[in-house]
Amino acid sequence: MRPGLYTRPAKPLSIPVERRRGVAPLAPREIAAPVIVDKATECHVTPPDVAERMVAIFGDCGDVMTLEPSAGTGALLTALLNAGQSPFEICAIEREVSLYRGLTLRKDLHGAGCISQCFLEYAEEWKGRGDFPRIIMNPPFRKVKQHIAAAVSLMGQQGHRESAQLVALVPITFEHPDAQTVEELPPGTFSTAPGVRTKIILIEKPGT
Amino acid sequence: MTDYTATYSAEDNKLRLYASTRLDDETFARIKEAGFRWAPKQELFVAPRWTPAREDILTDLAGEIEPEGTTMAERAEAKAERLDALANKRAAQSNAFMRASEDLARAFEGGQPILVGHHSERKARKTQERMHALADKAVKAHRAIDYWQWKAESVQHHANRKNSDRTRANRIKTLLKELRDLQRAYNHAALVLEFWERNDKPEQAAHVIERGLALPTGDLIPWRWAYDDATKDLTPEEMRLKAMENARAVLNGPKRARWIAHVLGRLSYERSMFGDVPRFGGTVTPVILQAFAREHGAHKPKATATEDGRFILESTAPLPLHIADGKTLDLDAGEWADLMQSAGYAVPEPTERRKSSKPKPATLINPTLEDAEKLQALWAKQMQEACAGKGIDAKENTVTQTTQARYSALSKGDYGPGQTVEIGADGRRIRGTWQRMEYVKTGEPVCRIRINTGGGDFHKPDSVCHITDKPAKALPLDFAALMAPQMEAAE
Repeated sequence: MRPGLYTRPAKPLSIPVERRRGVAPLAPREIAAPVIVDKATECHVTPPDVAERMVAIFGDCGDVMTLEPSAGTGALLTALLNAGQSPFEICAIEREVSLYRGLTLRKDLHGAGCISQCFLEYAEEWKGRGDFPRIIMNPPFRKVKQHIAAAVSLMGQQGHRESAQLVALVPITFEHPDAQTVEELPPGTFSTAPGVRTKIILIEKPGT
Repeated sequence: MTDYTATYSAEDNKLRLYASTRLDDETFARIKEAGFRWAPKQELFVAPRWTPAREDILTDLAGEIEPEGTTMAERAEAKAERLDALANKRAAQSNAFMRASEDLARAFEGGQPILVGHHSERKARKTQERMHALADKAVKAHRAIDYWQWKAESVQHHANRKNSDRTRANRIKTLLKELRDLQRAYNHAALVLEFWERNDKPEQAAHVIERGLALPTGDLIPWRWAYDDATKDLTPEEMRLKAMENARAVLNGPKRARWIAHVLGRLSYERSMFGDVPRFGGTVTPVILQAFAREHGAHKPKATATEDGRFILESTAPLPLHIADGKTLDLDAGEWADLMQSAGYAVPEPTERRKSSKPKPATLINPTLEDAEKLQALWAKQMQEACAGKGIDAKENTVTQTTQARYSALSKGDYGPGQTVEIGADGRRIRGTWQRMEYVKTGEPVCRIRINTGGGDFHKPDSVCHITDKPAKALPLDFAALMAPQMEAAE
């Protein structure tokens, strides 16, 4: 090669080295692992907006003892607490152990009475010995009639002037002589069972 | 019609080919086979280093090779920008993956459990898997940000390091080594050719092959020829002719000369980056010339100074072509300084010798014959004193008069009879002993002398040596005082 090729353009020999700062580490995010339960529990969680509307049917929340017979993951309890319900005036019943453990670990439910028992057995045990002025429930649909009947048997004023109320989310085919349909929910309300049509009912038991 | 532009960059010793359009299959295959690779970001073909074959292809395609217009620093900056863009892309990906993962996590936000056995289970588990996979991707992309940023920074550092003085100085050393390697093959070929021209009889070739004789630079006949299927059946004479043919191919081949010219071109470029090479202003000595010739690949150069102030550099093989055309070069000191400057050779500054940690030994003296005899008499007297009262007869010895050559022969080896010993002010031999892990001498030496321990016996002193063909000197001993008691006793 000719000697003239052994050269370089008259340009700077070096370049400033830009100091790149290390990237900030990713913020740790807590992704709760979903609970795995058997389908026999029929744990189809009430959507938050539906739960909110169900709680709103009671009117003002506060110090009125409220029963949640099939607490599940606590969606209705969350709506109650958000509406101002005192956790000390809540009684939640859940039969499935892992769901019950989830409820007991919730800090916002400290003070609430969480019972690990089948609601039907609970109702049989307490019928005539205690009552609840407010009951809110999303019962297992397979035994919806038994659960509603058991819940109705526990309704009572417990010293309040207002009549006892039961708000429940039931299949659209459910019928009860004292129940009035408050709202029919559209299909797809439940992510796990989008084809099931449901409604919200209210049963009131007037005081004596 | 494709327009080609071929360039060479002395900075990185790479050849580049710019083509205006996509290459046809034949040309592409040709340049790919030559080692060129497509650089998609720069849109050019680049070869990792210069070779004569690659240069020929570029000359064939482009007509002429031009100096590269971009610098290594510019290319590094462009690459750093690309890598920074990659880092930004990974950051965006990381965010997107994390957002998607969070969107999927909302399915479980309400606490909806996975219902085992329910028809929704499969979808729920799939959603969970996707959520975790997206979170993993987000983490991976986030780690990649750091990697690409580190890479971008390294690219800039690398470009600067390649142009740093220290790297350039080391590169010059490497190039000189390459030059010597190339020149060594030339030297060997020339020596082999000369040998076989001088020893051209078949029986001489047979003798060389039988004995496996070789030159200091390498084999006269490659040893593998005796085992290779293609050559093992050749006669010694055929092997000799083949070896000569190979040597001529090395000497007259076109590529090696181009390699050497290329290395010299690169050396001149690298040296020019350090500024002009200073002309040697000191005193030219044969040692300097030999070092200069050796660095440039001359075979065992021997420089001698003539009486008229000139210096002759000789070698058994032809000197490197950029130094001289032949085996000898006769120049005066000024011309040598000019040649060294033109070859880019700077005479290294003399460095101070490391001081020895050992104490300086006493002066070695060749005693006069008179002093040697006096010392011999003193040693005889000291031996008699040592033996007195023990019932032992002390023996006497005589001075050894010998030549330097004879003494050197006697003193060879650790146990030779010729030895150099230290003596103290009392004329006694200084000996050393180990005391408490320390070597302690029995006295302070005033000088060293040569002795002959040959013919030694019990109670017989060693013989003092007097070298007859070397200048002699009086010993720094006060013989009058040392011999006084003996004189008195004699009187």
